[in-house]
Amino acid sequence: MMIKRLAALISCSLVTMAANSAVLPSVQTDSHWYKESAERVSNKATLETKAKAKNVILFVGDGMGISTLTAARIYQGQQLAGNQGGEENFLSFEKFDHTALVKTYNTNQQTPDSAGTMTAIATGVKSKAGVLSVSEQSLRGNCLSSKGNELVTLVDLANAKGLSTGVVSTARITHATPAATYANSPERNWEADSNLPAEAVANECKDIAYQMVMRDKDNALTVALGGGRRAFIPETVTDGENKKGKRKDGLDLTKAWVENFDNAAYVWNSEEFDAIDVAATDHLLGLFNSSHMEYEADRADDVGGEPSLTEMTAKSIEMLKKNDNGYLLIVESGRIDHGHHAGNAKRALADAVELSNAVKAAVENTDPEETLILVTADHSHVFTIAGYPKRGNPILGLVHGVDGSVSTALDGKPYTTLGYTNGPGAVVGNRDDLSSVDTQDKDFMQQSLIPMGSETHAGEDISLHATGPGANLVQGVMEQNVIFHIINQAQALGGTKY
Amino acid sequence: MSRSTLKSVSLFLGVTGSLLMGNLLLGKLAMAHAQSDSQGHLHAAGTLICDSAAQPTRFQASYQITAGNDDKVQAHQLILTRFDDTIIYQRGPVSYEAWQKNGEYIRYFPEQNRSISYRRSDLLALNIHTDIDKQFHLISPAALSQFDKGEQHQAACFTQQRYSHTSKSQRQSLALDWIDELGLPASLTITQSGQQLNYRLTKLTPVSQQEFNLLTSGYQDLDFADVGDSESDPFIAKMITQGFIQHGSSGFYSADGKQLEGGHDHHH
Repeated sequence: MMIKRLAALISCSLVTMAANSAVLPSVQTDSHWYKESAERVSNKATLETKAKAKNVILFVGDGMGISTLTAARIYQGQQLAGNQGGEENFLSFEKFDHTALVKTYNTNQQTPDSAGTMTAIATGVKSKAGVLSVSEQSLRGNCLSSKGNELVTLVDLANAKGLSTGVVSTARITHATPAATYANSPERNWEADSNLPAEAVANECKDIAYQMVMRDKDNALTVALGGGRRAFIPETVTDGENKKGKRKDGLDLTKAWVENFDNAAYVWNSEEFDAIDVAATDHLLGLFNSSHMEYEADRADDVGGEPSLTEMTAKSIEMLKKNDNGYLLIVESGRIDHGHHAGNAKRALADAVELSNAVKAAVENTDPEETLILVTADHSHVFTIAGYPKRGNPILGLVHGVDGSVSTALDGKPYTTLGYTNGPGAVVGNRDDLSSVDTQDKDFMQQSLIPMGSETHAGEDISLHATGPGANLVQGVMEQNVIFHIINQAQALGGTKY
Repeated sequence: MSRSTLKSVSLFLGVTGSLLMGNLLLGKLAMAHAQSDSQGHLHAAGTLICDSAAQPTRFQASYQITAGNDDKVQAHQLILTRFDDTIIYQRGPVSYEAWQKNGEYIRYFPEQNRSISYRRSDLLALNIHTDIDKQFHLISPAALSQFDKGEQHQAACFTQQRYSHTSKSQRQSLALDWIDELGLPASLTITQSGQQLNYRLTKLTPVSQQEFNLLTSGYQDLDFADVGDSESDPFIAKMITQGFIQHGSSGFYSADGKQLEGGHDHHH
């Protein structure tokens, strides 16, 4: 009702604008900038959004801050035929009608980590850095203190409602972001039983891989795809890519998955993944790397062969939509973060573009009337787009001014548009002269200011983009834990009395 | 030896960084001599002790490395342990490193029982390009075809093939005794601008699975990709402070945090 009233108001103001436009010169009103933006506003004015979503797909770009979005859209745009420079491009989800800014701090850190931020998204409660879906009353790394402080996650709620659930990541599936959706742990690093300290064993805390597989049948994941095979197999077992497992308890959780659940399958490479009979499979576990899956830029080099994020997303939707009640799918692009930590912008951007592709696939494979699609990040990085490069200047290149000449800094040397405030690319002493360096090479490390072993997260807000039923709830500046409540309300998960 | 000389040498060697690191770690040593602690089927010839049971893919080779000029010579030891698809470089007690055929690199810290693994893509993301053949053979076997072939001679345990090479500019020359059977140099001397770098194989023995496991098992390993999320880990914090993990523009730092040149390439 409220939305309709708002739409009417906007329509009225458009009428006023149209009346006023008569006084505008044609050089203005004939401009494609003017016409296209007017049309966009007009479309927004008639936008109607349903309130209830049958399905929800939540995409999380790990470390995908606003500057990453901007750089990734230009990077993608500059590869498109007939581009106008690349800046005009939109990543697939940037075309969604609803957007908000999200505050990411943890309860104990101004600049957050992924464990605390994903806990907020998955449970509706902000918590500390390093802990997974346990409240801030828990001490990090202390099992006993986490007892009684476990938080119910979106996955738990969706399963309880009879929906199907899936978790996908290009990082280890036991890594902080995916793990916070299905596990409760006071320590993000407890990925395999071999990571558990004596105190955790004594107080019966379970490792994250164990928690993912050894769930009650009625709270089981329908799909789990990602990296991190080593946490699921015994240390005595060597996998298909010649890597050893990390489990000391002798459990082979890949076998347990197949044995515990009905019509379950386990795959470890793209060939097996492609061969999965979706109709005959009700629980699919795919672990495509011993550790994190490859960067998208290096995926073709993987020994066993890995599916792309887009392929994993499409297959997951195919699996999940078999449930007439609906589904909840959470997809993480986990390696944007790692590219940034390494100070390597090209790999980070290539993974962000692949996330955009995966979102596009989700849009194309779902009914917009019944599926809420959300795209966000867990936190940002100290990644900057700087100088005054001319329109269409290669985003990974040296800055060239509007007159086409290379711009130089006070030291007389050129500089790149993209850079980092801190990290491994820091210059100690004289800055390298980049005049003859191919800064667009995928292995180029951007220069940075403050020398640090690893580039760091950043504390500014990240964005949330939405389309589909309930997307209208995505507006303004919000705390990160509000994302949980948007999903909870749109999908009527029963976590609160909406 | 200057950095530019070292860089030139790296055309041939997979161990440029190792040389500088060895100097930093061990300082000036006297020239080593073969010890008489032979065991099993060891043979001694000159200063080389060897065991003919050593296989091309399973051996431990000790090298005496000297670098300098007539006025000043620095020397240190390098132990290479090859076991199938892994080769380990040991230069000092603080840490040692392993390269694997698939391009992975692992740095071990025995005192802390910790290790850091760099996958090939991690190294590439740090702009570190490595010729794995060089890492496994000290000299890329493919480079031999560019050298002038000399005579063969029978030495202890193995036949050695002599090679020599002088660069077009006449500024750099190389003399090599190559053990084809092992794919390793018995002796290598590179001379440039009055500076000389020499690798001399002093001991060669077989290595067992058990001995190899002692070097690589029981370590708490961390992926380099996870370092960014682990700076609250006291070990990581300490190693970063000491410069072991901080990678700067070359990717590798010495024990005291000084940057080493090691396969870095800016793609000029």
